Amino acid sequence: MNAPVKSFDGITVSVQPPVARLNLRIAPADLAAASAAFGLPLPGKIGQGAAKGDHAAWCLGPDEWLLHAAEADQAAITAAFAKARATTPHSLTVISDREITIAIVGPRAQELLSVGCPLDLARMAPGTAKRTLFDSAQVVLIRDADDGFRIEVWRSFFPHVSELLDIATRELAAGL
Amino acid sequence: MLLIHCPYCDDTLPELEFAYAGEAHIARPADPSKLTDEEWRDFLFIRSNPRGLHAERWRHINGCGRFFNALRDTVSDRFLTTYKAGQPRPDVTKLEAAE
Amino acid sequence: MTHFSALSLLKNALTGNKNWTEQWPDAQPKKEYDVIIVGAGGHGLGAAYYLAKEHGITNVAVIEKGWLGGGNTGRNTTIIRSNYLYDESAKLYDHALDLWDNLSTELNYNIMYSKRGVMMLAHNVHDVQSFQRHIHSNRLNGVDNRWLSTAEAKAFCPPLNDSPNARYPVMGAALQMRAGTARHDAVAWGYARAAAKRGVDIIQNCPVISIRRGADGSVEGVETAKGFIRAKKVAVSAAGHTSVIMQSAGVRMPLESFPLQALVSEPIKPIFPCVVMSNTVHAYISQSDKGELVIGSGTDQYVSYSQRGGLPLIEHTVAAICEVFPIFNRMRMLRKWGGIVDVTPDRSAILGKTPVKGLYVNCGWGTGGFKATPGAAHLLAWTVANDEPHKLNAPFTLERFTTGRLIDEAAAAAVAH
Repeated sequence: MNAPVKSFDGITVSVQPPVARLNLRIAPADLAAASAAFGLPLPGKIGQGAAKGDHAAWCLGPDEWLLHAAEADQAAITAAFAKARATTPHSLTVISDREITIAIVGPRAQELLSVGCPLDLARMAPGTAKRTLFDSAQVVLIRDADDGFRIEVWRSFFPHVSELLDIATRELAAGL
Repeated sequence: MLLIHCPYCDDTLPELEFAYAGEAHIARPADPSKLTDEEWRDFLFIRSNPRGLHAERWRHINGCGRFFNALRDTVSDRFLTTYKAGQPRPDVTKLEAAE
Repeated sequence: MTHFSALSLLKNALTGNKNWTEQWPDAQPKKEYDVIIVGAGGHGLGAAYYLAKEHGITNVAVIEKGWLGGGNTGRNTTIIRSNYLYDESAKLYDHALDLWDNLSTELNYNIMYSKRGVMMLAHNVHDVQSFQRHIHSNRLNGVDNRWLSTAEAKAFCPPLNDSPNARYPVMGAALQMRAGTARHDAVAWGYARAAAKRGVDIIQNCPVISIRRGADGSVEGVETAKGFIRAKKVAVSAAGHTSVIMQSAGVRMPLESFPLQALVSEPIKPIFPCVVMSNTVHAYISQSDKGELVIGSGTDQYVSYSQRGGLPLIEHTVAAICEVFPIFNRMRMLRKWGGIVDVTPDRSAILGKTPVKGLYVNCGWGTGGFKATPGAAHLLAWTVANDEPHKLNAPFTLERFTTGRLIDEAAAAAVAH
C-alpha cells in the first residue's frame, strides 16, 4: 500500500506509511493533563495543530483531538493516558488501522483537492487540520505546507477517494 | 450552496458539512405521562413552519460534530445568526440594530 | 368557450388559428360565495370542478396568489402511480388513477396521460424484500404492480446499466404498468376550463391574507389582497403555504415546508420509454414529450419557502442518474427549479375537516401530490359538499396525529414518493 497512487509534474499522490493514530475526547479544562500524558502541548482552538518530533496533534472539535505518533510509541501513549484516567476522565480510542493517509504534494495540490472538497482551501493555513468531506466521504484534511496536504480517510472509503484522486490527477495532467 | 457559520469552529463553512435537525427550542416534556393527547401531539408533531424567521437546529456533522442553533429567514434562506446549543433564542431587534 | 373536437380543430386551422377564444375568464371577486377554495393548483381547481359537476355547487371561487397552476402543479415531475404499501394509501391513490384514466375525455382537454409504466429499481436485498412486500400488498388491494428480474428491467428500459459491477447494481425492479405521466399544466388548465364553464370564478394574483372566523368560531370568509370575501365554507389547498394560512384561522398544522427540486436536460430524440425511480440512489427520471429528460429527487433538508433549493442536492441527483444511466453522462442540463412541498410526519396527506366549522383542508401531499390530483380534488369536493369525509379519505384526518392512527408511508417508502 506504500506505492505512489499517481504522480506527474504538478502533483504526487501517495499512500503514507502507517502511524499510531488516536482520537482523544477530553474536557478543554483538562487539556493540561492530556498534554502532559501525550508529551506535547495540545492546541486549544479548533483547526489548530501542534507538532514535536514525530508527535503531532490537531484540535478537531470543542473537546476532540487527533493525535499522531510513531507506531512504536502507541503502547506508551495509551499507557500514559490510562494512568491519567485515574484523576482526569477522558476517552482515548486507537484508530490507527481505521484510516489510511494519502499525501498530496505539489504546486497543484490545492487544485486537485478542490475536485472533491467543498472548503475554501485558500483560507486554510499550513499546520492546521479539519474534518470535512471529500466527495461524499468524511475525511480529516491536514495542511502541512502551502503545497502539501494529507487526507485521512476511513479504510472502507479509501477505494472511492483514491479512485477519484487518480482520475482527477490524470485530468489535471492532461490539461483538462 | 448555503454558507453556515459554526459557532464552535468560529468559521463559515459550506452547507455540505452540515445536517439540518429540525426546529429549535422544543423541550421534551418533563413528565410525558401527565400530558393530554393534544399536548403530546403538539410536542411530537406540531411545528411552527413559519414563512420568515425560523429558529432551527443544525449539526456540524462533517466537522466538529456539534449541534448548534440558527436563526434563518425561510423566504430568502439568509442566516441572521448562529448560536451555541443551550443558549436562548437571540433577540432579533438587537441583531438588526447591530448591523 | 369552444368545445374541442376534430371539427373545431379543422375549422380553426382553416382560419389560421386566429379565432380561438379565451378558455376561461379572469374573474374578479364577488362579495360572497358558497365555497371558497384557497389555491388554484390542480387540486383546488379540480375540487371546484367536482363541486360544480357532482354536487351542484357552482357559486364557488378559487383564489390564487400567483398565476393558475404556477405552484407545485407546474413544478413537479408529472409522475403518476398508486403502488403504495398501506391499504388506505393504495385505495386513495388508485381512486386517483381511476379518474386519470378518463380525464381527457371528461374535461374535453388533452392532459396527455401516458401509461408508460413506472419502474422502481431495487439495488440491495432490503429493496428487493421491500418492493416484493409492496407488490404482494398491492395485489391484495387490486392495485397493479409486478416484479421484474434484472434482465426484464433492462429489456423494459434499455438505457439502464445492468452491470453486476455497478456501484449500485440493479437486482430487480417493481413495475406498475398503469402508472406513467401526464402534462401537468394541462391538468390545471383542463380543470380550470371545465370549472369555469360551470360557473366557477377563478381569481388569480390575489393572495389570501387570512381566514376570518366569526364570534361562534365558524368560518366567515377570507381577507385577500382584493378585499374581504364572504363564504361559510373555505377549503385550503395551498401546498407548501397551507400551514401559514391555517395559522391565520388559529389551526396549527403538523406540517413542514421543504423545497423539492427538479431539472430538465436539453431535448433529445425519444430514448427513454418509461419512468424509472430509485429510492436507494435518490433519483427519478422520465422523458417528456418535448424530449427533455425530466429528473427529480428528494427534498432539500431544511424548511424553506424559497422555491429554489440548493445546488448540492442537484449534484447528488445527477450523480445518481449518471450511476444508473451512464449513457446520460455527457448530457447538458437546461434548467432547474424548486417547489415548496408540505410534509407531514407520516408522509401521508391530510384531507378532511378541521376543528373549525366550515374550514376544510387538503394538504400534506409532500413530494407526491401531482399523482393524486383528480382523487384529492374529487374527495375534497365530496367532503366540502357533505360536511363529512368520504370513506376513502376518512383515515386521512388531522386527528390521526392525536389518536396515533398514522398511515406511515414514510417508513414504507423511505424516500421520494
